[in-house]
Amino acid sequence: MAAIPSIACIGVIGKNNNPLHISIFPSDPTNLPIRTSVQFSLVLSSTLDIFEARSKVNLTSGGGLSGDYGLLHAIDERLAAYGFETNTGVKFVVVVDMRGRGIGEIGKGMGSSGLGLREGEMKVVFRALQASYIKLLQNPFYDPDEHSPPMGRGGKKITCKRFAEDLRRIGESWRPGAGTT
Amino acid sequence: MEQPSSSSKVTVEYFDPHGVYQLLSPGLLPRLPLHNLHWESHAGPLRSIDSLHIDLVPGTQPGQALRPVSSAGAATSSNLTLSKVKSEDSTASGGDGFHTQTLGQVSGEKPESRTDAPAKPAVRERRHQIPGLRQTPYLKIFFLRCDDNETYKAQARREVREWIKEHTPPTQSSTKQNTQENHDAYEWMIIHVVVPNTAAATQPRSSGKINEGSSGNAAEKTAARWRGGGSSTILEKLRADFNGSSRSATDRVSQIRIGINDVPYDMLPRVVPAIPGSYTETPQENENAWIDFIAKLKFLILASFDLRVGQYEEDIREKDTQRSLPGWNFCTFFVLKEGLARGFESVGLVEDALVGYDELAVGLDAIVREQTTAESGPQPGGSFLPYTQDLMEQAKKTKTAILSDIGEDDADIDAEEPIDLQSNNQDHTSQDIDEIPVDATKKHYRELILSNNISIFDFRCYIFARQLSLLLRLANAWSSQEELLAKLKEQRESSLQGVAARFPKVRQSAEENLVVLAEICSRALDFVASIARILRDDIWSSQLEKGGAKEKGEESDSVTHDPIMGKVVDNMASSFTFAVAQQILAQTATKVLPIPPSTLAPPGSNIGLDGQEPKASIPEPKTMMHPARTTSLAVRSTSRESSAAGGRSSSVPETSTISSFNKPGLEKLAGHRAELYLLSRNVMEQIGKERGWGTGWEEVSDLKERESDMEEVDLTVSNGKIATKSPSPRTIFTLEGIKNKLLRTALDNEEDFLRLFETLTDKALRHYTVAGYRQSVLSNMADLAILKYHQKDFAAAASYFVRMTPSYGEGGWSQVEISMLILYAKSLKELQRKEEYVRVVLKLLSKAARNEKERQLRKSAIKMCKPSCFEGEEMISVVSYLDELLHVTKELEHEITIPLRSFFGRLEVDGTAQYDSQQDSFSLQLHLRYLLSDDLTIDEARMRINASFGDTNREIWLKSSGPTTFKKGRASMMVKTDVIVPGIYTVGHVSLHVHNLTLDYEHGTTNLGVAHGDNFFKSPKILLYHRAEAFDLKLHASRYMHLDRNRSLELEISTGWNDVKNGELHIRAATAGMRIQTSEASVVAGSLEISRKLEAGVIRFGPLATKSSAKISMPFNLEHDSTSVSLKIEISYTTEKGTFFYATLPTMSILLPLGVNVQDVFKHNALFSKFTISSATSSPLRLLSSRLEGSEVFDSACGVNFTQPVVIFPRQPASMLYKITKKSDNALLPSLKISKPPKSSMSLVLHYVCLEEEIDLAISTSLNSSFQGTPLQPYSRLLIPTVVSELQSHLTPFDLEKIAVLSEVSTSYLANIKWKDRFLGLGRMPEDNSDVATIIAEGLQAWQHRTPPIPLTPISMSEESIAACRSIVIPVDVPRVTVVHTADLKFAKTSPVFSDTAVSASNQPIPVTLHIKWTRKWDIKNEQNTNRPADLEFFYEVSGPTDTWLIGGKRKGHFKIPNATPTTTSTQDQNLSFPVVLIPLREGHLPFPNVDIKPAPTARIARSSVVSEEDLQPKQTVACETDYRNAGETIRVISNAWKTTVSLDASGPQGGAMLLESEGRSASGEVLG
Repeated sequence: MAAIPSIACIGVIGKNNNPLHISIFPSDPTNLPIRTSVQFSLVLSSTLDIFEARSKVNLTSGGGLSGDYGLLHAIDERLAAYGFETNTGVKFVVVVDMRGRGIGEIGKGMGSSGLGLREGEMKVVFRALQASYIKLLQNPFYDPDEHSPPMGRGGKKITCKRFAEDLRRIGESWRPGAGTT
Repeated sequence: MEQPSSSSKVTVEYFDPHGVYQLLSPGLLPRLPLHNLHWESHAGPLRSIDSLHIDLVPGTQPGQALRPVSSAGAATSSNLTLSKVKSEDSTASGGDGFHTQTLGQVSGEKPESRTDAPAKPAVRERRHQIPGLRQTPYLKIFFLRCDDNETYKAQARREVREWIKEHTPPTQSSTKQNTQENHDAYEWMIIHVVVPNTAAATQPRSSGKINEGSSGNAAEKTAARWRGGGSSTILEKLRADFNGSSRSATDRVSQIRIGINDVPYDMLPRVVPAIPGSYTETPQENENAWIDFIAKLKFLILASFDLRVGQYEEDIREKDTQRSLPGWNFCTFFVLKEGLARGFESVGLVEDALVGYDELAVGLDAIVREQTTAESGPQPGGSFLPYTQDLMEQAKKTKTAILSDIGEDDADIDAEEPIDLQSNNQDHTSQDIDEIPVDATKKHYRELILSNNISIFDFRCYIFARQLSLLLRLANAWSSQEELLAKLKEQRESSLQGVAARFPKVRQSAEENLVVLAEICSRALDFVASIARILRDDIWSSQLEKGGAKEKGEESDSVTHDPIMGKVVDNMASSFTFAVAQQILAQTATKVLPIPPSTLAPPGSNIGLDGQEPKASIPEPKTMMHPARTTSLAVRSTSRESSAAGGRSSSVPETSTISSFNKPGLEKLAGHRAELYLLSRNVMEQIGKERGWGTGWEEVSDLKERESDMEEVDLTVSNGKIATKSPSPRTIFTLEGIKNKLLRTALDNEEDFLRLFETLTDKALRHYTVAGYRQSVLSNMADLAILKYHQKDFAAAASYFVRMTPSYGEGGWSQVEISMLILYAKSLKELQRKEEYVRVVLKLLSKAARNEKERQLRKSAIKMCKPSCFEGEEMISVVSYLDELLHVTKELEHEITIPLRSFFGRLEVDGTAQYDSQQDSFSLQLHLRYLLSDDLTIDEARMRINASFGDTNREIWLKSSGPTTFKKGRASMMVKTDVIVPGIYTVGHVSLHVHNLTLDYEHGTTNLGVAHGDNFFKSPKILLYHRAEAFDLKLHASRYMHLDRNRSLELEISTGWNDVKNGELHIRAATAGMRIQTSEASVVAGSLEISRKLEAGVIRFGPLATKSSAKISMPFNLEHDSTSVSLKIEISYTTEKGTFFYATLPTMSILLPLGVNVQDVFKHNALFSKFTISSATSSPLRLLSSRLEGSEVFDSACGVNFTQPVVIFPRQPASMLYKITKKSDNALLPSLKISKPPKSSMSLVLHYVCLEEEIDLAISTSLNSSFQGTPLQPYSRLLIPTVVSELQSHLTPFDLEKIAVLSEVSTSYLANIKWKDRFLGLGRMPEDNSDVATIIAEGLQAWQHRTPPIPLTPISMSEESIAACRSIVIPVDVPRVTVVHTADLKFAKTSPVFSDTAVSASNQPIPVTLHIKWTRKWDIKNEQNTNRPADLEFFYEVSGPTDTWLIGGKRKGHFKIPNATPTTTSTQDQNLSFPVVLIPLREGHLPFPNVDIKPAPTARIARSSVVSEEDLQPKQTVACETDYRNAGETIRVISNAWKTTVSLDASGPQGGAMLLESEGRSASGEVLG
């Protein structure tokens, strides 16, 4: 039953707090997502409050330029949400399943899962996400205003295939301690 | 360093051999805790300790402990009481000396720890090798009672000295002996307690030598001096003896006098030593003494603290540097550092302590990480136990319990029950501990650490427990205070009863620090997440260890796949997590947090949906504080109430109302607490799920549409794995391992489970509301709503849904919204709320449709992508809602209109209007993409097209013929209309109607709000036209124009293929100021019955056969001149196939293309009129015939008629000359008899052809013949006007002239026109689907190439063709001239020279006679008006240029023309002659002098006095014309000189030339004669 953390869900949330993209990944024992997509949506939407609260704090304290919000929310003992916000207000939320990926044997790698994730380990993911998003923005057919209208609410979802592929790759390939994604 | 009311404590040991503590304590305790200590740390800023509690413990002294040393005065009873006090104190505070106020610390454990410590030295209380373990007193106080100087000398001095020897701090005795001693550094102090009624009491405080400043005053000093220096007080003696020699030494002696009232009677010495001049202390002095004492207390405590800290820090530094050395042990380091932290804590520097622990926690993490990454071999930082013993045992126990369960029955719940009870009974005590899982005192952690015998799990728990307690203390939390207050009370109760009343009320601690509480919660969240994993690892590794004794490889596999063990681990982890969360929640509870009232309605209170609850929020009841005690109770009560109430209150007060309670950290705390609630809820839910108890989410997930391909993927991915695995864990369910009582209770049965779930969610919800976490509130609402739905409490669910769904929808969380909407709709259905149901289902369907649309878009965009991972968004089935919806809407009373786009993905209008053959109707095809999976049958579809040309109000409605059924995907339908109004149209509105439901799309209005990328609607412009055979209506200006009469217009109606039964024309003028007299309409050509109605502008007509035409003419007039007029004509006509409608807005030019000027020349008998006919426009004209028709009075005559048309160019007008003569009187006379005056005006009749018309005709003919038989023929009625107007706009005046000259039109002008643009909107050919516009363009191009020049049709001059041409009749009036004179200058003598010109010599007078002949023939009015007396007087004047003519004779003269009767005037004209002499002054051809004849003005003036005004009036219009015969004639004047002799002799007196002789023509005069 040894397992290491894996990404259960990646959410990209636009400036208007509208979901731009949600990728859900299967978790180990059953190889199915451990929550339904609706539940993941709710989880992602709940994290927005924490973003808001923290950004308020950041405003007053003047810190938090990096955009990395770290652990947002421990949902239960398995799931934890990590957040990152870009300068343009696009938020990346990664829900990590602490026992999401089974590994063949227990023993050596065991302690690591108990310790949870180190600070830097999520940074890799966020950097990769940001890179993907920047790639998306460079796509001339992608109009950010369409997805998060400057005035008003809501917005379209990202339908870019490459972006979805990128996110899938990031989500599937990430494992704690791995250098790059 | 702001410190809230602190609760830190330091131990002060006192040695009280005389039992005076009892006396002292009433004075001392109120002054405690110490306030405002300022410690200047050597590193870092000055820290101030706000208050410091002192734990006074009696010290024991080996050998002589408790031995009463009091001298005579002390009664034995006092000893007894003293000992009693002592024993009480020792039980209360334990012997360890150091006290933290950690939660639940059981003092009884401390001594045990001391004895257990393995490295404890046997001898005495020697310090441990690792310092910091023991907490020794910071200060030792010796309470000395010494009643007089003698006692002091004899006994007290020795006593004190001995005590000091025993307790001298190492730093005092020898400086460098052992720095390690500094760990226990302490200070000592002597308090001299002066009991009243003793000798000491009479002594003054000081004899004056040592002035303490504060206590000494002048009176004291003098008193001391007065008594002599030899005898010093006891205090002074003490100081001298024990304060050390050096000046800088600290003062360790203090004196306190006890007031006489403070001493119990039995302790009061009876004997008063008779010492004169007894000293009594003022209260002020007493107070000063206390201040002094307290100050010293503070100083000394800080001093020893400083020493200790310094020492610790040094040690830590040293250890830290050794980190890299092999054999370095983290545990050792930990203990050392913790010592420092505890030191800080003990003096109240909690934050410093916390920092220490935080550093340690990080250090532990680092070490653990290092160990995991390091390969085998010695592990850095010392080893930890691989597992925790009690966890292993617990796991083992649980496993056996489960196994036994399974052995009996397959996890039947009933079977479990007894075991549950049993286990409850078994470890009842341990259960209590389990409720507080994180507690530093639960285990002897420190010993375990010290002995390197601790697992990571325990280690972490310990660190967190310590952090928690520090934070709680920092936060001034309710729980930590409670504990401390209890302790203080205990201490106080131990003191004298009588004095207890004097204690000031203990401050009910001030504000709790919410920020720190929030910090606790957030740390706890982190901790919980990680500790659960550690717990799992711990248990698993313990299992591994067991199995590891055998072969490792296989065993490990079997161990890890042991489902029962997995269950055990799960349960234990869940329980632990849950318990921790509950513990933290209990500990961070604060009254300050305003939690809005529960949304679970209290019974009976009838709260409406508007939520009229009291606004002030009620602080959360403390019942939930300690879950072990009360939660289950609370759960039961609230949930039962809610279920009993049935209905529910709905609204959570908005966050804005909460904000008034704002306090720093409040929101944060609320948020974190909510997260904790959620965490525990999630844990519980997880277990419940295993048990098969749902909270409703399963139903939501059931809603997912399982697409076939996805199912396949699922199967392939989990090939067989699930099949083998899934049954086994499902069957095993057990409560074993769940230690937390609350959790266990909740999991006992489903009802409780759901209740707790609801309560926790509700609490989280309310906390989130306070925190202002909008999204989380919504998310929790979703949970609650689903739960309610699951519980079939539909009303409650609906009330949640109604608030929640819009927010998600607006935010773009469509998937969530749809799921919620489905449930919402189902709830409403259950509730039979139809209106809402319809609304919600519509919303739901439209959302589903939108999702479907997006999916389709994506599908088209992304061809290959694994469906399982992309977007993770399953489609949600909304099948069967539509039918229900339609069923319900049928019953509704009012219509519901929703946008079309909510069900349809795309609306496309086919640009090809499909015209029906043989009738004037057309239909358009609509393509829609229906998005829902249910079929939709609509009753009717309607579409409106709006004209985009001039008349913008024009709209045509098209309708579908019958019901249409839509299936998912593309669908087409036709809409038809019988109305054709040619022009360009755009689709403005499309609507579909089903029962009461209308789906509509309004183009233009919705377009504004939609982003530019919207591609819902697509419609080309639609160009409607009339086919060649269709009903037609043409407007012409009348070809025949009479300038005198009203102009009229002609309407030509041609039926085409329609067999018109009847029809109705509505004609309105579209030009301002135009009036059409429809009542005077008449059929000009064709057979048509017109029934005139009185209605203006309406003409009804009867049947008209196929392919026939009729012309209706009707006059009109204009108020203003304009070049063109337009009409609005609407015609509806009925055939067998129905009633059709046609409207048009024709425009015709009413500009006269030609202009006519007349020039009249009057002669005596005839009038010559020259008509100049010019073109009024730039276009040339062809004049076919011209005729001046005579009138009754006049005859006209012309020369020849022309045989060829005359071309009139704009700059080359044609002139026609007519001679008009008056008819003879004989012919005239009969008409005179009639009263009506004869018509005198003549009329000029011109037949002409405009060149433009010729061009039009030529082109039309050419085009018609060209398109005959081609597919383009139907379009000819559209094409020809376009081509013609295009050509006309391109022709310049020059081109027109050229055409007129050449008689052919060059079509090269049309070569470069983009015809396609002009025919957009025609759609496609039905046959080959090619674009009609393109075909037309190609056809026109081809035509143009075929016929570069088109010859104009030659115009024959036959009568018929002339008659067919345009004609204009211009009335011509002969101007009225009263008198026409004919003047003639005649030479008196006829010229001898036969020449047509007279010759005369210059300067010779020529006798001339002026003959004037006059006639009144042209005065037509006068002729009729015979009674007019008119003797008209004229004068003539012969004038000529003065350098030419010298006029002599009767140059001017008056003559009178009598008012002759017509007979006379007509028969004989009178001749007047006047002789005039003309002398030409120049030679050459000289024009005759001018003769002017004018009416004489003088005569009129003379008459005006007599004649009335009426007579005068026509007088002024006396017009006369003069026909001057000599005008233009010349006379040749020659010189009269015949011979001239000129002398050119220059000599002579005058010199120069000289005329000598000249001889004139003597006969010349005669010649001219």
